[in-house]
Amino acid sequence: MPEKYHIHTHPEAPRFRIEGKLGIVDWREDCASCQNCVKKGCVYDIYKEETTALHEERGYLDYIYKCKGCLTCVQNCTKNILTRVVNTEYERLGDDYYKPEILLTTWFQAETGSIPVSGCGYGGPFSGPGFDSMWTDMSEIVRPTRDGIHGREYINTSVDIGRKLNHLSFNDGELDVKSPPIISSPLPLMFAELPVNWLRGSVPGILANVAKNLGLFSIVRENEIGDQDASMVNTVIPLLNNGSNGDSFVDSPMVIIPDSPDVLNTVESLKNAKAERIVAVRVMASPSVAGRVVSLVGAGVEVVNLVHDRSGREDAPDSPRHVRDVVRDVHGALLKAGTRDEMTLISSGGIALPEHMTKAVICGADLVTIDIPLLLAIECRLCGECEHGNPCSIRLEETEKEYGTQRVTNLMGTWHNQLLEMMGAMGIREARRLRGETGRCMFVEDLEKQAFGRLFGKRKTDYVI
Amino acid sequence: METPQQVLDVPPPVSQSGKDFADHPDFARVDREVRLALPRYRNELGKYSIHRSSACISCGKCVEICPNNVHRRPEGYRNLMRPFDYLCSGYDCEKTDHFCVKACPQGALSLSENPAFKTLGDRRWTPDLLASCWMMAETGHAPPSHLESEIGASEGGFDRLRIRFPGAPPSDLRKEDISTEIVLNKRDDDRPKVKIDVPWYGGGMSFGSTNIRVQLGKARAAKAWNTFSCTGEGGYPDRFVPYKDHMITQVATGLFGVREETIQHARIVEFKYAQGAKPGLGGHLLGDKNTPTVAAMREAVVGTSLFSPFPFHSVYSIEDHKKHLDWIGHVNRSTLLSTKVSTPDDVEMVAVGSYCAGTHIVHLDGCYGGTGAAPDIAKKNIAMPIEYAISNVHQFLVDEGVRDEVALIVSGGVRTPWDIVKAIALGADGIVTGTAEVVATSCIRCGRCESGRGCPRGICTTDAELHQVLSTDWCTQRLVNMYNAWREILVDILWRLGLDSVTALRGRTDLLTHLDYEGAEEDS
Amino acid sequence: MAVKTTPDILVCLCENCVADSGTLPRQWDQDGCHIVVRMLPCTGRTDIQYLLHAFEDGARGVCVVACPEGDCTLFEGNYRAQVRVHLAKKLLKEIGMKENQVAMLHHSPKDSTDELKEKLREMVEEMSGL
Repeated sequence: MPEKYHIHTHPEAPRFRIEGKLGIVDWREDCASCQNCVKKGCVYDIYKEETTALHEERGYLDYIYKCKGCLTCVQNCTKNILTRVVNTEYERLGDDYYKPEILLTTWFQAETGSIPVSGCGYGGPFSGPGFDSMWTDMSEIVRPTRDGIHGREYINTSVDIGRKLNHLSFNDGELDVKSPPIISSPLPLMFAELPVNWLRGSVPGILANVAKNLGLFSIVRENEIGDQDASMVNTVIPLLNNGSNGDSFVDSPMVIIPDSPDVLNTVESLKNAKAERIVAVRVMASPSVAGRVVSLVGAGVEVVNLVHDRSGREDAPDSPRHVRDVVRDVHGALLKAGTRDEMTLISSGGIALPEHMTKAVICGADLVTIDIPLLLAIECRLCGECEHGNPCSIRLEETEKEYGTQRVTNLMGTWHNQLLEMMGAMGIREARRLRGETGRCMFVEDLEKQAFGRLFGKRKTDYVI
Repeated sequence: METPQQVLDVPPPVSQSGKDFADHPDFARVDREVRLALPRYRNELGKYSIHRSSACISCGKCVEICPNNVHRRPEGYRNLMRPFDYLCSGYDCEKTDHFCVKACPQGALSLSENPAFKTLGDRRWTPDLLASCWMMAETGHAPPSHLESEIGASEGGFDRLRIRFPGAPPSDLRKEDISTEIVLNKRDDDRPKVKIDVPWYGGGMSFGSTNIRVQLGKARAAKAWNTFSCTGEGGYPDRFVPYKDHMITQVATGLFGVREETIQHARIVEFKYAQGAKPGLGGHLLGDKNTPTVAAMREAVVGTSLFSPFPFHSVYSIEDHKKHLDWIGHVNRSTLLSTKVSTPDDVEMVAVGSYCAGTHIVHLDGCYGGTGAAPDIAKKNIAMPIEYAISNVHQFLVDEGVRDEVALIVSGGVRTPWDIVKAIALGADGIVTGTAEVVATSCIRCGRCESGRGCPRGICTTDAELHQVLSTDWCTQRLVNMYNAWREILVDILWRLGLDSVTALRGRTDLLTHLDYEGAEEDS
Repeated sequence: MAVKTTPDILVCLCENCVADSGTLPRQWDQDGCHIVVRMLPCTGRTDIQYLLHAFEDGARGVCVVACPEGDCTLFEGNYRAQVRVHLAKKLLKEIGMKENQVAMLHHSPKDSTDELKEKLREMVEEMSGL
């Protein structure tokens, strides 16, 4: 048995105090100084910690919102002088897509390297837009294929990138075909090129370092590849500019070029320069993208990188589709053309949580790319101040390399583990087999139609997906 | 020397040992009478706050007029107590003649929404649902009308389903005649026809994850209401023995605490294949909670994390499942068999397969169900919500012609009597409640059941100190009250629907509408 | 040298004072001062220790913006803040700093945010001279 892929995590405390969700407002002037102070009884010792922090810290001190919200103190205080409030700064974190909860859970994972576990049932909405409108399957008692994540069987999360032959041919008993170049990623994800605002200080170096350590690939724009460490050549995938000949990157295992009318010529010339290098074509997701991908693949393109915007939507004037539908569409079209198994589909955009990665793969992508979650791991708050040219409140550019590397490694460790959890529940032991397995997930519109359509007839409005 | 009779007359000591309980079954006496069970925190949170300023002259006008007992002056005192504003009915009161804010001669009172109240709960259990559950547990009757006690804010499933009431209930139907009984053994076999008085029973909460006092409260309430509670997978403490006729023994994948005598005790044995909150994943008791007592009960090492593996490693087919059921069925010739499964895509097949293997009860646990600890990713994403599963499984069993030979019990997001009605109308026979029970014992769903010392409110913890914050009697009464309120509401709904029994409601999807479908009116 | 991210003037702003909390920038520079806005759920959350810590790190001024008197969602948060600001002033004076380095403003969400910006601008002008 091959050695299990394992990401070593260890706790790495944040550099800055995180914005917690809840805090206590306290009319301390009214305190009766009674002997059974609820502050002493705090199960989590929050008050003690706050006092210590106030005593020991010097310099500008942020408000502490570490309350876990059990309300014991609020409800037990003799004089009822405590109230629980939601931290306004917490509510302002992130944006429409990267909700405060996403930031908080990502920070937790990057700090501890462990999967977030909590009690009580899920408290969110019934379903939601995008990936929230699908559930993954689990297998109950009737499928003899899995042994759980704690079991003896190894769940393999690695995927291949490159063209695959659909058949072999032999001549005189000898293999007559040469297999095309292929590279393998231990997780169905790649690091995407960073949004320009984050190309600051030590950030790109940290991510490149993590990719190298974990055997993952990171996409970097051609002109941002500096005089890198030679050891990173194998893990950095240059994103070439339009018209670039890519000569400086002959040793890279793969390059990505943007789609253009004469993209096939570019692919050919790049292949001519070095046949062992995989050439991927980047295509923007749009309502007509499936046809374009099919024709590219039909013309011999090995890998297609399908790009959505940061919230996972295609480029369309109205009601843009989400990754889950675009990828299913493309995947389906390729299946119909009979070329799906020959190529690799990489989906970019909209991947904020590990479940999104799993779900995108189920919808038909071989792997996904991620960018913002990596930045969240090194404590970015998505405040957007850098876009206005203001200084970064957490000095992201000064992030120490070792610290940042550990944080991102932790995050990848938890993503890996959560992928295992979901695959274990589904009874699938190969990420390669997860791809396009829509039979192993349930879409809200299908369930709704099956269960309620039968009873109640026609829906007034379509689901927001 | 004391005679046994004298001992029985003495009220049970505060900390009864398991042996006390086993020796003196009278400790287990309990009835279903409703008694006021006050909140155990001094500042209970309500939807509204009443603020009394320093202008108050303690004239007592507000004490006189408030029907909700918000304002109180204890006998012999001059000053008023701080307002018990969790009882306040808020702005509904404005139009009445007992609106204290207007009546106060000093203008010392003001009413506002309580900002802390809004920070409670979540989309499924809104602050209003939590508070109405607390009110039911306190008073034993329907919650006050200023709380939205019927639906949550999840915008799907139960929260979008509505019950269609006819214009007027039939005049010859009396509420006293309405039956809420259900039979759990529908098979034509020689095992007892176990009947429960209400169409629900308590969910499994294991010894080790939950405060033993809460567990006992659950068991006692189950006894009072002639229904069941469940051991969970943490074993069968001696203290459950007096309630053995109302305790389901759960056999889960870890087989913790499953012994021949615990199978012998049980009128129902439940096989837990999966749990809705973490379908496809095993159970997990974090090391912190694994105290010496827990470890002894589970026959494990103190302080280690205990995993129940997934799945049953001896079950890979319906035939294997049948072998399991047969084994238990042989050990205890008069027990009913229940199969608890989650809701995968092919849940209908699983249900019918379990039926074929000989189960009496198919228990489906939907993906939004409760848990003491589960990965967030599993709670949110794996398996389908129960609303879909009920509808599909019911229809499938009907089509297969076996619907009347198996009891379909559902759980996972059933929060209120209104949800129960919707679940039964969709096709279930009854439901299992877990979260509502812990909410009744004043859980606020902070989700910290698993970390550190466990539940800071003393409900789901093994911490000896935190155990003390609530008593078995209080838990029992809260649950007895909640059961009573639920039954009252259920009977009222059945009466308004013109149905004389809860079994007549099963599968009556014509009594439901869904607000997202044509023909349904958005309620005002 | 690293860019200074700690504030010269810290504005503690109650979220209930502004109609839409997004309309006030998080930070800006004016009169050579770096101004940082810290949103609070209620000014009752201010604390003398927090206020003074800002000075320890070199802030020149702290300004607390609260709801008009009587309008606090928590009933008396703004009143509490007033007490604490007053205490801070007293302490600053005792140690020889100027008491108007701490200031308190009232603003109602009904008034325009521009008005608040104007008030803050004036406040900063005054404080920057200290």
